[in-house]
Amino acid sequence: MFGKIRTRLTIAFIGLAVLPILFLGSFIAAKTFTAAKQLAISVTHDTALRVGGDVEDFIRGMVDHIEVVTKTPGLHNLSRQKQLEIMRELLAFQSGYDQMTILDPLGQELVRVNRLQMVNGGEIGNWADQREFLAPLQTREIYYGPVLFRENTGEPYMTCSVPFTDPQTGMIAGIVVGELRLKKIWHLLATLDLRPGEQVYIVNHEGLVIAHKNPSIVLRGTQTHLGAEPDNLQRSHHPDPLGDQAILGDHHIFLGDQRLHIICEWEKRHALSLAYRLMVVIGLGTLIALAAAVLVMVPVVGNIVRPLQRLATTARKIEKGNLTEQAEVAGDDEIGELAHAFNRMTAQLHSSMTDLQTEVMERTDIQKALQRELLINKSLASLSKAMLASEDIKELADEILKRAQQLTASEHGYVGYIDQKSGNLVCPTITAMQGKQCQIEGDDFKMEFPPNADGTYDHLWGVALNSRQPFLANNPMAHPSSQGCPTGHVSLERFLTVPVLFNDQLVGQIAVANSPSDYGERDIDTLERLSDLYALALNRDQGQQEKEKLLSDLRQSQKMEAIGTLAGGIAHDFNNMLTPILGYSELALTRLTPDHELFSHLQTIHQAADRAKELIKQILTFSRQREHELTTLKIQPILRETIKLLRSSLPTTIYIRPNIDPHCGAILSDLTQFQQIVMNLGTNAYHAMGDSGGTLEISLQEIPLSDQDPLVTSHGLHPGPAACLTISDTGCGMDKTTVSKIFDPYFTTKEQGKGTGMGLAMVHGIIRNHHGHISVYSEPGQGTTFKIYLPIVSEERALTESATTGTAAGGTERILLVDDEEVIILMLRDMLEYLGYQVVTITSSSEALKMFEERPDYYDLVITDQPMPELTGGELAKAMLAIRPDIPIILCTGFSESFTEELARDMGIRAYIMKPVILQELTEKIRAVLSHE
Amino acid sequence: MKILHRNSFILIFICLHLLLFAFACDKQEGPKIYTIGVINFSPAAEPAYEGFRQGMEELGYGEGKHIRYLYRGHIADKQELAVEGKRLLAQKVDLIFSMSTPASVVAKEVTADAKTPVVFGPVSNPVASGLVTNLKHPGGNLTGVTFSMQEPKRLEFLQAIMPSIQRICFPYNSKDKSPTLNLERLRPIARKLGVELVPIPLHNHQEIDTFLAHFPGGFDAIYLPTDSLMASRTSDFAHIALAHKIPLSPPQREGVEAGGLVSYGFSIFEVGRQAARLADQIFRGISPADLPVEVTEFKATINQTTAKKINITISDSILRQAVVIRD
Repeated sequence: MFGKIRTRLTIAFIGLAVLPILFLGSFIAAKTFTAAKQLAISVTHDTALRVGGDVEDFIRGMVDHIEVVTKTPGLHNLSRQKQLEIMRELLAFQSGYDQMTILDPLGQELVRVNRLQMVNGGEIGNWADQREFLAPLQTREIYYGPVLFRENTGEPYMTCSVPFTDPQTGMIAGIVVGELRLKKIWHLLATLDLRPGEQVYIVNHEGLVIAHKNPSIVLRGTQTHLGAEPDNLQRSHHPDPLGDQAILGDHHIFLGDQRLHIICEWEKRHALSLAYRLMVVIGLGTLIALAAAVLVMVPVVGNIVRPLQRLATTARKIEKGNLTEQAEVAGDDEIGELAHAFNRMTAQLHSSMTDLQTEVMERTDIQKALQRELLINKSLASLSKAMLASEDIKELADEILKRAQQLTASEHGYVGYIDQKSGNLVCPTITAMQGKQCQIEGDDFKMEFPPNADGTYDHLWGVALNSRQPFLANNPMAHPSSQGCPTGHVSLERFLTVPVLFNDQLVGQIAVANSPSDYGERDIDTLERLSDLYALALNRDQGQQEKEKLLSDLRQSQKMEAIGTLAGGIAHDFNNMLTPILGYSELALTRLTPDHELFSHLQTIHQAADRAKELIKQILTFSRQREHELTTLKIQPILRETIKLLRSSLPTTIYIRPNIDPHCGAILSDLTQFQQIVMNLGTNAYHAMGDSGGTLEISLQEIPLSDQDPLVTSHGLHPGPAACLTISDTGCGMDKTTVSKIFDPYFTTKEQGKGTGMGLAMVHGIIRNHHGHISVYSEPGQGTTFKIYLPIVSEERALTESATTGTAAGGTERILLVDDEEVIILMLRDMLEYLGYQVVTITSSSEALKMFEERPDYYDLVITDQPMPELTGGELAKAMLAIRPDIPIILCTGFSESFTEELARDMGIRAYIMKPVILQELTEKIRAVLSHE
Repeated sequence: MKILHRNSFILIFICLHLLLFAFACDKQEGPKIYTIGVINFSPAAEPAYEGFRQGMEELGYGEGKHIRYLYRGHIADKQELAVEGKRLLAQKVDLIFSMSTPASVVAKEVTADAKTPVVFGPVSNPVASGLVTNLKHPGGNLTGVTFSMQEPKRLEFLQAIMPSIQRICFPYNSKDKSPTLNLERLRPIARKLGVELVPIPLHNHQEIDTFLAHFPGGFDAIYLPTDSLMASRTSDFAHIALAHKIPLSPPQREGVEAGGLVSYGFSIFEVGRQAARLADQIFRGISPADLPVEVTEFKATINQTTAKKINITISDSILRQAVVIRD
């Protein structure tokens, strides 16, 4: 508090002005009070003196009358009558006496007169023992008696005795005793013009009040106690004081032995009223002076302090940040100079603060950017973590959308992906429109948006997809592409979308809308970063799908391999079993005429065995155990041929509509397998259409496959021209579940025994072997369409016509026949010998080698089985070729997984033939081998 | 600075007014105007009213400035006196001055509840009249001036003037306490002085008229007591006394002035002046209960003219003892 200038100035002022004024005022007041008190004391003294003087004058005047009488010559010697006359005249003259008495020197009454009472002449009193007589007699002085009071009226009186002497003798001649009526004293006090609070009374030496303006006070014998010499201000001794404290003035009247005190008592509060008033005046004056001083001081101090306060106020405003505040410059004095300096300082400070603020703002912006970056990175990290933790693309998309909305403060958004098959933008199958503002109803509510025929997308969300660039519209509804928004769509006030690209391929889209402020580059950057992660997720998902597909294919393949292995194993044995059946039945048929009774039986046996052989072949084909030689194949004639074949096998209720592009290029394929494809699909189509019939469309086109074509990107086809074989029917169609299983082995919808369930599996396998792709489109009641895509090879074409007829040609060469199955050895021996050959058979491969070693040139041809104990056919052939390199060897086997035809050829084996062997094929092979020699 | 000047001026202005106010407060309030109601039974007491007014004037109560009087004149009927007394009370008088004993008795009665102070005068015997309980301590709201002590001296003085007086006519209203008391007090004095006091009860003016018309002889003097009725007929008695060449001794000086020979008593006028002093003390704050009843000053008064008419020679000594009235 004391640090403030105002306080210090005030204190200084108080010290310099207020205190002196107060001191002076107090001094004056004290002096005045003292003077007033002295005055009051003096006044009371004067009053007491004056009253005392009047009383004394009265009494002494009355006594003087008596003295005058006593001066009457020979008073004591006058006749009684004369004395009476003198006394009566005196009494009549001076009504101040009640009674006058002349006493002789012995105290005997000579005469007595009374103002009111009749004095009987016979009544003579004796005053010899009365003090009124004795005292003056002794002292020869006037005796004043005590003040007494009349019994009836209470009037005061005093007895005075004046002795007179005989001038001759000087002896006391007599004493005149007078009773003085002191009522006048009462009147004197009653008529005193006293001041307020003042009273005057007379007390005798005993303190008895003998006179007061209030007679009752006297008449009730009021006693006062005169204490020590008063200091003129003491407690009132008056029994009925007007106040507690009073100023006393005292005057003594000495009347002989009597002493009367004239007391003037002035109540302090009245006596000193002037002093008090003066003190009040002085106090007021002091206060006025103080007030004046304060009034002077306040503005003066204010003129000093106020500018400083304003300066302080300005400083506080500046402290709160308002640096533009300027201090008021009220004058050219030191304070004005200070204000100028302050303003300069604040201007400088403002400038510095502005610069600092700018820098801080920049740093703040940087920090915000960093924080945003951190937030984005955290979001990305979180998303990455989520991506690592979960492979659910929907969950990730949800998370991405949430982050996108959070980072762009958007109310709405979606995350979509491009379906690679259809090219549709698929949206809230993954995410949902946030909020409930979406009021799209009915068919307009779509979550999947297909591209146009030219691959572009419509509407606002299509802009980014088409351009593969971010699209920002802070007034989207004004954009031309906003046309076509379905009714009830959320009102778009701001719209931002970025395409999701992976390796430049459009895989998805992230879009946000309705942020409270305009979208900008920062938001685009944020979404692009999210889109990168999303692209990875989509790619991973795609890869996962492909992986799963591959795994599925692998499983399928493994399954097929297992089946193939099983089939292979069975096929070999089965082929071995079929070999004698086919061989002997064929042999028997060659030896029988058709009208033989057993011919038809044998024919049936042969046909059955032949179907069994085909079945084995299909199985082996499906299991890939039988490698077919793919050749460049012009498929148009094959297709026409196969259609003919189908036509002949299908009922007329099935209308076959071919549409074959003659310009379609050749493929790399196996004739048989190609036919199998067409035949299987055609047969299935027939089964689907049933008895009601329908239309079977078979078309062939050449289509170009681009690098982005899904057939290329997803199904492994090579970019370039591809033959598209379409086989569609108007059958009953299939549901999705059925469609998903049609290529599974043994899956059939036919009744048990009506189908093996291997047809489409085989077709699928064949096409895969051809490095092609098959797709199926089917819906219940809508028919089924198979599309087979086969890569087209170069322009060289080879027309290959399958030849299936011809007679068997024989020979005479010597053939070494090795097979561990005796039945087969016997059947082949019979077959070969039928053909005229010389056949040496052996069931032991090692024995066969010994035989050959003994006479390697003996034989013209070796026909051996492959899987044999001791030495396999291949080992045997190798050993024989080592002995005789030019020996023609034909490997005849039912199944050999490891020993392929190519391997056999590489070893020098001239021919490779699969069991069951048919005669024609065998003879042709033998001739072909022997001819090359 | 302007503000400073203005503030200073305002301050000075206020302070001056404060000072003036302070001093003004100190100033005594304007003088109170006292209202005094006057009731009187006897026309003879009228001089007391004059003396009262003069006395008040001398004491500083200027009529019209400090005091006003409500007086309708003497009322010889006591009931009407009571009505007048109540009327005065209704006027909220500050004090009632009652002249004569009947009027004072009425004043006491009407002020019994109001406690309006009453100063009476002259009243011969306030205690016996019941006006006060004690001359020294009146005790109530009445005080005043009495004169009840002068009869012996007056008789003595009469005898001193005419030592040959033997038989004195004493007319008095026997229904009035005052003369009755006078008579009782005088009887032993008369015996001491060797004179015969012959009381003549007269109760109304008709009886007085009849008595005066047939004044009996054989009286050496007529001694009028302090009797309002007789006092109202002093001049008639003076005339009769003169006619019979006998001295008349009225109780008050006015009676001597009216033709009586000698009086040793009071002046009704002076009684009024003395009563004024009591009124002044009451106005100064002393309660009537504390103001002793005062005895009026007695003075001998001799009408020298009457003396000559009735052929009485009065000694120089006696003349020097009295106030001598000469026409």
